[in-house]
Amino acid sequence: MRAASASTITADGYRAGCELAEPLRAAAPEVILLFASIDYQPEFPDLVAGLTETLGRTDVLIIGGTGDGIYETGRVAHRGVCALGLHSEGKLQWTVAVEKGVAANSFAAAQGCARRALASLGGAAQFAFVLADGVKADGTGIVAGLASVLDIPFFGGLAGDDRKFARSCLVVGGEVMEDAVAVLAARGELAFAVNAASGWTPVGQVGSLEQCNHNLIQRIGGMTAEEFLREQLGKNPSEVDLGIVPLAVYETAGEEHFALRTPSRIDPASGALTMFGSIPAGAPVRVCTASRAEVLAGVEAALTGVRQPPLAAAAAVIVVSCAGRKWLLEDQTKEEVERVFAAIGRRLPLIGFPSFGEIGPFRKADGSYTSCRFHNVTYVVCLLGT
Amino acid sequence: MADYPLLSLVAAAPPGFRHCPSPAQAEVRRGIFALFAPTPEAGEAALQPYLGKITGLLVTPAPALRWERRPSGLHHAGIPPAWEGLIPDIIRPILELLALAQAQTDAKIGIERELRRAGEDRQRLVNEFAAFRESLLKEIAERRAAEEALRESEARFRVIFESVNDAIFIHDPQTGAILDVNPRTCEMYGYSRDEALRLTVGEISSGTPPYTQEDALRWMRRATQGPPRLFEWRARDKAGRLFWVEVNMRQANIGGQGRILVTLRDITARKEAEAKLRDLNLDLERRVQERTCDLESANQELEAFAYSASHDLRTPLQSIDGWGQALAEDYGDRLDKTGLGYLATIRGEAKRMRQLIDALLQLSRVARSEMSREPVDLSALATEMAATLRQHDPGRAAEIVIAPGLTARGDPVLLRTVLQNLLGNAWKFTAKTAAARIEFGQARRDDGRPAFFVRDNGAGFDRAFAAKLFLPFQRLHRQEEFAGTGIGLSLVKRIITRHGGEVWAEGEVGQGATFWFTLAE
Repeated sequence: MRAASASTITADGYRAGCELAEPLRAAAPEVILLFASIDYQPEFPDLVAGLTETLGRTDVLIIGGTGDGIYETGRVAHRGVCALGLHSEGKLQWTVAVEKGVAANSFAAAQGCARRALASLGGAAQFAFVLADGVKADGTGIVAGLASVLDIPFFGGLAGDDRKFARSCLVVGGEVMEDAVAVLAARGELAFAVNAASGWTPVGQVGSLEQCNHNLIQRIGGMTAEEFLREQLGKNPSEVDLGIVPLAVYETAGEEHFALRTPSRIDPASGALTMFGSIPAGAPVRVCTASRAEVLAGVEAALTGVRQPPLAAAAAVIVVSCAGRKWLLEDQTKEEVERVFAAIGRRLPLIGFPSFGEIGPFRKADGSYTSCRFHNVTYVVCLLGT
Repeated sequence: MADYPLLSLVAAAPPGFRHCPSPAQAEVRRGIFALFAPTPEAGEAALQPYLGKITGLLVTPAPALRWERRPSGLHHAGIPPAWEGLIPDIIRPILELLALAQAQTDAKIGIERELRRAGEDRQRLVNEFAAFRESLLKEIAERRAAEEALRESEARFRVIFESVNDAIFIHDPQTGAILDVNPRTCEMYGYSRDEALRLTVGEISSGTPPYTQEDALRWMRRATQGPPRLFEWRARDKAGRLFWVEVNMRQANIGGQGRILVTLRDITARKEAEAKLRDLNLDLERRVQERTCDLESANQELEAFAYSASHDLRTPLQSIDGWGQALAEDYGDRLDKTGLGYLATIRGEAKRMRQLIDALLQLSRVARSEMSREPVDLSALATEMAATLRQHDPGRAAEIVIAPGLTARGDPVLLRTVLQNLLGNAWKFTAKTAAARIEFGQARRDDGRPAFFVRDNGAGFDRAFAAKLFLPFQRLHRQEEFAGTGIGLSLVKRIITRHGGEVWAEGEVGQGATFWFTLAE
């Protein structure tokens, strides 16, 4: 696997594409992952044109999306665009599939997208990376839809904007789209390891989610969701707790691993919480807390998972962090990427983005995976190898 | 120094320029460029698809050296043909400046966007801070209100604590240590407050099981794990005096801390009063037992006397009657009509007295006899009685109605006597009634329990004397009117009483009578 990454903050799309292409040229990429801040949304066609024209190739697969900033080997920024070029040296067959309509039915759109990708690869895939419109899609539905088709660990995230929750978009080839889900899938020999971790610790009692409507959580453990938070926190939950007091969501009671859901709104009248993503009714939940240091330690926990057992050789790193983590860490945002470099060194090309919802499984000590989950305020890291 | 694309629309390109009749995007959008064109308009036409997105210099032949910025955003340099060979050198500083300007524009755009984001983040922070402040103020207000409520609650508690007439202890639930006592505790135990706070519960208890330190701690553990506990305790004061207290022990939140709250009431006086009452009750019970024995003994003696007297009286009476009969048979022809009348009266009274004595004996036997309890068919007994009554007085046309299937548990002989008397009385007291009707049945009383009754429409009785009906020898009618001994209803009452039942009568003069009785289940 050959890989190269690049980033730029040049505002002009074409020139930005040209600038990205130069470092990637050496890798002769078959596939390019592209993450950009939302201000590049109108520039995407020009950006892709600059990229492909500079590379001198029109057959390169390009998949990307917007986020609340970019992470790249040489840059962590609020705004800019980064790219990772991959060349499998003939070992992989790549495909990109897209499906629209996530706002109406995220599950069905993701399911259709996964089927399309599989069909394109002859019915089997070893790798899948997913992006979806983070303003319009339900991440839980996206994951469930993909899992209904794919029997491999897949990962990715929901596209976002600059914290306005106004729009997010995907770019596939030169086409920019909203209300969509896209999957980059590969068939062939590809070693990779992916893991999710957050740094949050569940505290207090487990409550069963008794009443909900999509991402509106109404009753937990015989009381309103707000009362549940109050009882577990020992104080009235307020707006300031929204981003930093997530719920741990378990698939089964007593399970070691959990996905997080962050409340985005508290309705004092009904005691209901609006969450970033739905939670299945009946799921066991617990309130979580974490300090900034613990949130950062979540990166190391994610890295531990992808390095044990280790890959024979890593070629690139893809990270999907949460925009909420970025907001929480504020001036320590770069520290997440620094922790990655501290663990694996700076020689590997790395790109990533702060997402509106992370997707990925938990990697176990024996190298196997749990089911894929939809996360909030979580760090998903993937080492691509050979 | 950077290399900039130098393109020429015309074939005869100036030195350094490359002929490019139709510039490609990659040639003009990647950065600063120069395009040699016959006119500025011709150059702009060739670059039309990219205008607005490109920064470059149009170079055209011109009579004199000139420089301008075009409305399209491109820059234009007019260069006299004579200087054509110098064009690359002439335009290079311009291209450098344009590159610098482009870099500055890029930087400006970047800065503007960063500033916008910073402004948005700042506004968000302001909003979040405002929300946080509001939340904090609300929390502070709530906490203040809670603290105020707690202070008021504690003040109320303190007033009660200081003034209540019960001793109050506050204990640590973990160690049982005394944390606070009220003034009444000091009065009750004789210790100062400081002394009391250094005591263990064992030191103010009798010290003998179940009133030891360990027992007290056990009670406290129970109180922390469940509902309030109420129990009595043997306490000891500073002088060593033992006294009884009633203890109410419960867990309580005092000043935000989990505590054991114990209230104690001195019940020594109550315990002494209870002991006295217990002694009095025992004495009373003993005296009642003695009196009952005396009464039973006297009753037995009286019964024996009555039986003996009645029995002994029968013999001389029989002699009187016998001698009266002998006198009538042997000397009747020598007595005149008045003498015979006196003799008949003597014999009649003797006979009546024998009947009275027989009745007394029967009454006495009822009290003395052994009583059995077995199912008795009262309807069958009543039917038999009715037949006997009709047989003895066949001329009577009385209607006798007997409810079928009435049964009870009791002594069949004694219950026969009851029905014999009640039906006999009804038969007797309806003798002068035109359409006599006698009924034996069962009905529910006001309290829902069943009662048997014998009802007639005969002479009835004055209800003012109803209470006397069941006393021996009490008769409400004259002997000439209705014969009788006056014992029958006494007999009935005694039998019913022995069966654990009740008997009573209802009636009016001339309106008939109803006699009710119940029998124990």
